[in-house]
Amino acid sequence: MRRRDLFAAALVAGLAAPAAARGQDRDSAILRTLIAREEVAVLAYRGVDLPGLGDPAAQDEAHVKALRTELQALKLDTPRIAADDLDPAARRLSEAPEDERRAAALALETDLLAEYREAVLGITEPAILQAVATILACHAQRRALLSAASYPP
Amino acid sequence: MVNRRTLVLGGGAALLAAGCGKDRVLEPPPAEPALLRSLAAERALGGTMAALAKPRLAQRSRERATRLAAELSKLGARPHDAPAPDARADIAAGLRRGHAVLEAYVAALPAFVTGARRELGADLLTEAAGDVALLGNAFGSPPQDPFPGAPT
Repeated sequence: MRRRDLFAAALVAGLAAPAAARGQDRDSAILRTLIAREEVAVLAYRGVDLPGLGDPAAQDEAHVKALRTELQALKLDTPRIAADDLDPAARRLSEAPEDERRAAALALETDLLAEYREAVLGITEPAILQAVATILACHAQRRALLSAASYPP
Repeated sequence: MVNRRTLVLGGGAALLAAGCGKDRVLEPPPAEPALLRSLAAERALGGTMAALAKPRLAQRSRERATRLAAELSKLGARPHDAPAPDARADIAAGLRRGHAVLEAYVAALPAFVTGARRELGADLLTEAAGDVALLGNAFGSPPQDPFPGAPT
């Protein structure tokens, strides 16, 4: 191998390493945002009964656990969200009277879905991407059920 | 002026520094097999939806299949290589095929590295997940899985 080839290879490797680090930084930032959204959703759905939707609070708790596992795989962590730190969509659901719960849940799911779509577009690590995509699918299913003309089933 | 020896030494140092980081495969999988698998799964689901007399769901599935076929054609691949299996009016088979299509879309995403293709993957997964939920719900099996499309 010529010196010039060696230098070119070193340059490529040197450029690739920071790109991977940037990707990891971005993935971890996205994971932290999603964890916060899911933790808030757990609080908002707690005690809310929506026919045909199963137990969204328990599902979202499973989402939190999966997302935290992905973050810990990057050797990172994030503090748990405070109970009074609800985002607007979650607050609307948690405070909605019974006849407005479906609309509030639909708004929350639409909001979460938009967040997950952005996440799927930005994540670089395949394992994180696929884990996040399955959670996106869960929120897409809830949104479809809540939107359906046939609701409640 | 930097001489050749300094350049090579610098290059060597950069190689060493790069080698000290986390090992990572940067090469994404090819998009074509992922698209073909998704198309085959979508065609199977659409056939079952039609057999189960759910024409609106079947129509949306066909539209997703058309988008996948167009993407394959852009790559110079042959959409006809994705099989379209026979369908029966069997809700259990429909739900299995629903899971299979979500699994295919989730598995495909790492192969969709361009922005437009990743957007396509996200949108197809979102739409298919919703329709699979509506299919199950229509037959008394609303989804309960917190991770639809996770590999089985």
